[in-house]
Formats: sequence, structure tokens, C-alpha cells
Amino acid sequence: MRVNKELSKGTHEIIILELLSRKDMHGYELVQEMELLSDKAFSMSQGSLYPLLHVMESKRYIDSYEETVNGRKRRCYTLTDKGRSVLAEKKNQWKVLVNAMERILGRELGEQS
Amino acid sequence: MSSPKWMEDYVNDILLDVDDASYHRRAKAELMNHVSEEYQVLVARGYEPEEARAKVLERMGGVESLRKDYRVACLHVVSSRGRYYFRHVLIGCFLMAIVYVASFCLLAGAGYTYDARPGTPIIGNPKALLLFGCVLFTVPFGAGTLYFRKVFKYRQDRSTAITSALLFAWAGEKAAILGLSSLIYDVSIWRLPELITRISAGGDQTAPWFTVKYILATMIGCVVLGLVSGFERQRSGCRS
Repeated sequence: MRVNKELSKGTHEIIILELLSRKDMHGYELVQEMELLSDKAFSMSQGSLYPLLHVMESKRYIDSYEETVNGRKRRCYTLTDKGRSVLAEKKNQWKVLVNAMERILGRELGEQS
Repeated sequence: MSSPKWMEDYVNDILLDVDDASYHRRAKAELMNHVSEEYQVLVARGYEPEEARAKVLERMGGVESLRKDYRVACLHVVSSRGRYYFRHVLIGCFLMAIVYVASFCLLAGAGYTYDARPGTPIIGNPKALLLFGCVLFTVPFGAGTLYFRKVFKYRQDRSTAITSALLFAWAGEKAAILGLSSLIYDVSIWRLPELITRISAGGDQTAPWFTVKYILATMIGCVVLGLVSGFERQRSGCRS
């Protein structure tokens, strides 16, 4: 099931940071990984990935470089030290949020499962 | 291999509002790569070309919303460049200089004079001097703050950018006063200690604007304006 667009809006940045902390990726690979790992729950319109990456790059969270694969030029994205610390901070915030939501919705979620 | 025309048209349509050439080139290359890769994958999976095309366009997203996303991203990217920062600091300082001169003329038009009568002399009249000094600082620096706030809206280091730009303008104003004093007193600007001693002795038009009190107060004013305007912007950014 796809997560509501408004609900998933704030998650894209942390997902991208997390994926790039594992390895450098280009845009197409990022979209595929995002869909695969979240079982398509966190898919976004593919075209809006790049503006998000560009804004993150302007904030120095990520960096990019060009490489040629099979004769095709591609821009790969890599996590910066600043991005790594932002990711750690965002993860902590998410832990707090998830714990709080579990406390509030825990019983209800338990009943459903 | 050249890309089909529909891909070119689609990508060009998305980037219609992007007016920075280097960002346009980069975004176009990435989008073209993405669209063509997705199309090839779908065709390889057995989709008919027309079906694959429709699927790609659906997955990429609507042109209108993507156009807006790219326009905003372009503003972020362009405003984070050093060249953009320096260009707008210079433009802002130039605007502030115009407002500064205009304020000075308006105050003179309102009857404020240095020490001559008729009119309201500012020397020997602490209230008039304070009002004159406040207007000369708040009007041009307020205008500068509004300008820098607008042009550095998308910068991550917004407060720092605005504050440093205002301090640059502040230093420029002091340099201009020094230059003017150098002409009035006929003391070369390179003989700085002698020039400052002469200005501090007072008695001329530039004296009230080169006191330790005024220099410190305006410097603190710049820092406060910069920090407050940057902070406000961040707050409203979170709301939107």
C-alpha cells in the first residue's frame, strides 16, 4: 500500500540520505532502491527526485560527480560529512516520533495485526 | 543515439521556467537520462512503445508541478553560488547608497541643517542629532535588509549571508565617510591615524558619524538586523 503523499513528504530527504550512506548512486538507481526497499510504499514521482537532490546538494548534504557507464554520462550522488551528521540527527528525531506514535497507536496497531 | 522528440519536448517543457543556463544543462541531462532509461526498461519488459511512453510520463509526474519544483530548485542552487552572493551584495550596497543620499536630502529638505540657521541645527541639539543619525541608519540599512532577505531567501546560511552583507555595507559607509573627511580636511586617506584624530576633533559635517558610539551602535544594529531577518525567514519557511 502506498503511503499518503502528505505523510510521506517529509520522509524523502532522510531516505535519500540513508540510501546514499550505503553507497553512491545516480538518480534512477535511487528511485529503484527507494521503491524496492519500501515495497513501493515510499515511491515519489520520479521527476521530482532531481530537484530534491539539487536542493540537498546546495545545502551541502550531498555532493555529485559525473561518471560514464556504457558510454552514457551519469551524475552520481555521494553523502558528505554534513549529510552524515544531518542523517544521524534526523534518525534520532524519527526514533522519537516512531516511539511516540507507537505509544499512542500501539494498542490499535496491535489489534489490526 | 538521439532521443525521441517526445522526450526532448517533455523535458524542455518541465524546464521552461529554469533561466540559469548551467542548471538547465545539468537538469536536462539528468532528466533525459532518466526518462530514456525508464523507457528502455519498460520496452525491454514487453511494453509497446506507446504504452511505455505513457507509463514513463505517468511515473515522472505532471509537468506543472515538476516545473514549479525545478524553478524552486534552480533558485536554491543559483543562490548558493559565491558569484551570486557577491553580485547581490554589490547591488544591495549600491541601492543602499542611493537610499542613504536620498534620506540625507530629505532630512535637509525637512529643515535639518548642520549648524547653520534658519532650520533645525543638529549640532548642540541632542534630540535632532539622534533623530538624524537614526534615520540615516534605519532607512538605508532597513532597505538593504529587505533586499538581502529577498535575494538570499533560498540560502541555507541566510542569517550569515544577510548579516555579512549588511556589515560589508556598513564598512563601505565608514570608508565613504573617511574619504569625504579626507577631502574636507585635506588629509590623505593613507595617513589614517592623523585623519581619524582630525575627524574626532569634530567641528565638521562628518564628525557626528565617526564617533565611537555611532560606529558601535550601527555595527550592532547591522548584526541585529541580519540575525532577526534571517530568523524570521526561517520561521516562515517552516510554516509553508
